[in-house]
Amino acid sequence: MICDQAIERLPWLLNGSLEAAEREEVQGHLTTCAACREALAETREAWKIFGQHLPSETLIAMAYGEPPEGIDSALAERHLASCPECAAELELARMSRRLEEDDRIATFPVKPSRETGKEYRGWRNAALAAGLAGLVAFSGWFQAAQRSHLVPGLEARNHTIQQEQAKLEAGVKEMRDQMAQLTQPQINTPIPDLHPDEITRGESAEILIPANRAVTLALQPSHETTATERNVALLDESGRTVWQQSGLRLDDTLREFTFTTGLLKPGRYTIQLSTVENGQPVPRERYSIRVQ
Amino acid sequence: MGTDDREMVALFLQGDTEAVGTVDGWISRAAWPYQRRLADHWDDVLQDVRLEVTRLLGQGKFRGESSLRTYLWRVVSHTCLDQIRALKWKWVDLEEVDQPGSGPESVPASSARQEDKDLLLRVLDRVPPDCREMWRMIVAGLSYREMGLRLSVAEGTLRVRVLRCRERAVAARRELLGGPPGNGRNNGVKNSPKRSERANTDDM
Repeated sequence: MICDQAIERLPWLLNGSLEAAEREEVQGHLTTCAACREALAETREAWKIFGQHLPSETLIAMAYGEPPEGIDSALAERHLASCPECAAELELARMSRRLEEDDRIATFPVKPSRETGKEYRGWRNAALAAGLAGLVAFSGWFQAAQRSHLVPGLEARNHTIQQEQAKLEAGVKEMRDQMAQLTQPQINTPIPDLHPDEITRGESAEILIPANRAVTLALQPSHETTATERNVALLDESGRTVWQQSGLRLDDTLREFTFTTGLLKPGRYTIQLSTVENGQPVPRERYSIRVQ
Repeated sequence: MGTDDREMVALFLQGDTEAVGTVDGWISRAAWPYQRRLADHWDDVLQDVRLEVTRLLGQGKFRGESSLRTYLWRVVSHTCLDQIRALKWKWVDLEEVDQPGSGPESVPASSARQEDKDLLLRVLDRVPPDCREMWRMIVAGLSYREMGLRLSVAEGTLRVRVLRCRERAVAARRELLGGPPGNGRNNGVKNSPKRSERANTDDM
């Protein structure tokens, strides 16, 4: 190792960060080179200069708002501006002074030592783990409880849905059967005469209509009227209008009603004819039928 | 000195439980801001502070220029700051290298204890900030590889820059002491062409 190489490494020889082989080389060179030992002395001088800080008594005086003794105030201020270590230490001294001046400022307990800290961290980690395990267990229990509470309700709903689905499927099957019948020729369609109720009063006025077959009702109107416009309404047992048609002409075309298969559900119905006179509907004949 | 403070000092030195408890409470509170910096040394430092307070009060150092509470507060801060500084990095002893006449003990003129701190601070004030920054890292114990990474500078360049900073600091000190400033380089070592070239290139 030559002098230049040794001298360049002197600061790190002093701070002890040179690797072993490098350190031994530099030290070996120093033992034989007086000029480099002189450079080592200068490096120590530089170390003292660069390691210079404001005296602690100066920092404390400044913390208490007093001028620093033995040191130029402007120089001290400049040093504080460029030395983060002194600035931090001054802040510590100021904080301590604030604690003296105001007893209301609370201080936390003294930080535990490293060993105690390890123990504390161990307990803290164990407590966190236990808390986490408890949380997982609780959430599992909670979900299980919810599931046990919900299952009966879900099963009931599922049963209802299955019933509804069976009904719909039966309805679809019935509709398909009816459609199949409509596409086929109708043989021996019943054509009963239907007399108004007032004429058949006292007798069984109901005309039985099979629910699973098409039927044509031949109306036998009895009322004489000059009105040419008729309204027809089909009412169920509760009087609710199931079907109606207005503005029909009373001529040969209005003689028959044909109910296709499945049009009417089993039950009693009333066919109500009415005329329109002076713009107002006037009830006329009623025909009672029963679908079964 | 107020009567109360005088009584407090007397009771403390007699070991009065209440007085000792009061003073100890003041010490703990005054030292509280320093505990994080002192870390594992905290308990030892607190004990040192108690001993120092007992010594000062026993020797009658407290003259009543301020209240006893303020006096103790400053003593605690002083002791804690000194302890923090005592924990900082120190240079390595090189007994095998330091021959009689060349070691740190043999240069009393340059000892910080005997030199005017004001002078050293003035020298430091003349050194460029980047020099102070680099040497702050050295004093903190960083290797030149670590410094090179932090400063994004090649290791060789960094070593030359640090050398230049050292020369500037030593030259500034000589200048302030009234001697010839020179270039701060030791006279026994000639610059090799290679070094001069690198130094000129990396000069700041």
